[in-house]
Amino acid sequence: MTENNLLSLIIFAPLLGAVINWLIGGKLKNEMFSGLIACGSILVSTIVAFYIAFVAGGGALFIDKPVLDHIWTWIHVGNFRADFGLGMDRLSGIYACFITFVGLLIHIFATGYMRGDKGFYRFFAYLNLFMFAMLTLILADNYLLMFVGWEGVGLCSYLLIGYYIKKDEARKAAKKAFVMNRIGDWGVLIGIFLVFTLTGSISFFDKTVDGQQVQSVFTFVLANMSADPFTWGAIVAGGLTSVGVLLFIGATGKSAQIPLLTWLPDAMAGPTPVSALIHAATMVTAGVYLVVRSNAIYQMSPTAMWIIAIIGAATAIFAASIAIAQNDIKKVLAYSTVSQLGFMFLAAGVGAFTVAIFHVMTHAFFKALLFLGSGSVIHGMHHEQDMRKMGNLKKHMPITFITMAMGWLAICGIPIWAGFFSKDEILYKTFAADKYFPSGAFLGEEFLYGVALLTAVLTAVYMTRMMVMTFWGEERFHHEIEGEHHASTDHARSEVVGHGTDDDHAADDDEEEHHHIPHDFKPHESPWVMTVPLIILAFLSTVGGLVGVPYAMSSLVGIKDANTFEHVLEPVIAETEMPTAVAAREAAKSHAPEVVQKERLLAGLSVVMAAIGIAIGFGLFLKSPLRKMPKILEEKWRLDEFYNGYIVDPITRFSTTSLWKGFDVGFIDGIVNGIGGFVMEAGNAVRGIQVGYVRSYAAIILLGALAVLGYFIYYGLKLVG
Amino acid sequence: MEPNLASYLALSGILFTIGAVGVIFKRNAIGMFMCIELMLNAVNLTFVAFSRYYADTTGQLFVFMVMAVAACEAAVGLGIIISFFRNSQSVDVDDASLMRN
Repeated sequence: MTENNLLSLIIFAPLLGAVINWLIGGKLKNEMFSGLIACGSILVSTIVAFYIAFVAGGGALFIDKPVLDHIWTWIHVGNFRADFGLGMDRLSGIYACFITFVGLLIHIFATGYMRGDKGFYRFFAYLNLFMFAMLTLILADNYLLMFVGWEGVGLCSYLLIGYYIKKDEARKAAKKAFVMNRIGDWGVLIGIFLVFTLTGSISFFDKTVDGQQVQSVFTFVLANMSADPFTWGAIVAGGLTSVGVLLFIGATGKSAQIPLLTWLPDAMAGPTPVSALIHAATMVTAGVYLVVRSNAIYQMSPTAMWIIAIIGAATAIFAASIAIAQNDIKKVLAYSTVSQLGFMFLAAGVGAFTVAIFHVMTHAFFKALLFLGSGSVIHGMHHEQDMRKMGNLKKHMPITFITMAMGWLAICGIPIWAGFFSKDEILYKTFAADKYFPSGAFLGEEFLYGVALLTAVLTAVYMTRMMVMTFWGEERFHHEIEGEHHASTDHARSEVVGHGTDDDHAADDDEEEHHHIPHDFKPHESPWVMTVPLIILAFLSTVGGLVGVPYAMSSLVGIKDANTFEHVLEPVIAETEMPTAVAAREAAKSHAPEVVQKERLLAGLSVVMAAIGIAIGFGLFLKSPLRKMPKILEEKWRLDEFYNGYIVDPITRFSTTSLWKGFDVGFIDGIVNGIGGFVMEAGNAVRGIQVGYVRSYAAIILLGALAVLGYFIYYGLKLVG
Repeated sequence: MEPNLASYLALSGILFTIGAVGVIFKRNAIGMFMCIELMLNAVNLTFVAFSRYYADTTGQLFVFMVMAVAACEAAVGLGIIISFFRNSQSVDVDDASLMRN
């Protein structure tokens, strides 16, 4: 066990930044100050994270034991122990590195994007607070502290989605995100309880605290528990499968999977850097982190794995089909994110945990890039987000165009770009996953592979459509869209961010204002603080995948073993003794020629499919970018309407008629008003006695005295008699 | 003829009744006050009579107690009456009926 107290600096630097920005930045209202504090604190986190991950004591990514930092003992009751302690092992090390680094770039980008906004300090305070919560989530060394971070990112997500508090859409989206996340959090919490009941520990790592040996959950599971059978009954049996399913319910909330996915597209009401940081690169991948962190549990519960794989694949294709028909550039990317998260869960579900994390990382690069690129486009377009009003922007915004094209190639899965390696690994691992699915299981791995491949094609199509509508074709800046009401739609979609020239803007905090596109409008390229992060991310999206080139690819160019990423993560993945798992491990190491051949063939197939997708995209949309899309896709399969109609409305109706008007007004208020009414009636009845004349009171007292006397005399005589 | 216990009690009863009736029917606050004193003294008379009858001085001690309380009551009661008179230029207790209903 290695201790390194620097670890706490990673999480507390952003917290300090948030506090300073909130307390001092709010007074100063100086953008330079707020931006420097915010970016500076993240820079500290980044440097420390990379230092610990790569340098200190051999680097957390390369040593076998996690680097721990026990800050204080939080709860210690009986044999329940929850520390406020951090731990960086190989998994959280990778997460910490890309979160801090991508976070830093997005912070820098945001200083340009948010320029002129009156809530500048507030924005960066929230953003720093988010970084604190996210880093707590991934560096926590036990489930409970992880849950603190889990809730923290949910809160910050709520605050940042609802950043434009004067905008009704943003407030509603924030509420929706929070409520949906809470539904999922229920699962995580019950899952943690169950973990403790089963294993007597909630720690992630074996460690010694205060001279006391603490065993990790996973060590216990591997040593003392056996795999659950592949049955429906295992889900409710209260064993490892129940834990797996409950934790996954939380993951569906946080990572926007079916059925809790509708909040993420709505979350695009927040500022674009927020969408990039929280709703693409970091927070939404927390669900994947949770699953991979608990992989020992999942490997023992094939039913949970199967559910994850099915949900992941279903979400991937469902969201991809919606993304094809969206006209808001951020909505396309939002559904794309949901779809890619589905891929990650598919990978986790078929037991390819390392690949899931690999895709998390490459996705963080290219999706952050695409979102920041869209932010740059929106910035250049005077806060127009509707792609129908763009077109031919490659002439006006060359840097944005080239960088975004890198992201586009990456997400489509064109070789050497980062997305290719990770996505292709997922496809291959899905195809080869006979590990967890007993033969004859409904919806086997071939079916999942088919779905994933189709999703890959759809991905290429919708991304190409987005690129074509935005950057190619003719300029449509003044294009009027039929049926659109400027007052509502435009205003709702517009973002704050004044341009410094509006003096009246300064009068009101958070005031939003739609900039109608002037007639002599020319889109402009964004300032360097926005383009430099784009360039760095474009570079990473291009070459970032090379850290995890699988054997089948690297052997093509004669390099035997280039899959550094997988080797780094290997110790994190529990080596279960299940025969299927052992067989799969050996198969993965053997590099048998026919297996390699198969992988190459499949990779070739997916490249061809991606190329076909891009070709379809160009073919359909280059000539007629405003082509009408199927209505059902444009309306997102009417999922929101379904939820509203079948869940929200009935609950609202039940609450209104039964709970509010029936129970509360009728029963509770009835009791209270009844008591009051009774007292009032009784008072009215006896009010006549209070005549107010001293003499009648005296008479009544006398009568009373005589009555008492009479009583005593009566009973006295009776006794005597 | 030495008066016997019954005579004392009868006198005491008559005095108490006069006092009680006076309290109920008199409208003058001073008069009511005097009637209350009358009732107290009727009770005192009973105490003394019994004390003599049983040859026990406890009753007489109680009389002192009652007198002391009566003196206190007189002070407070007269104070209230004076204050009431200052406010309403009257000592008619039927005028003091602000708390009616």
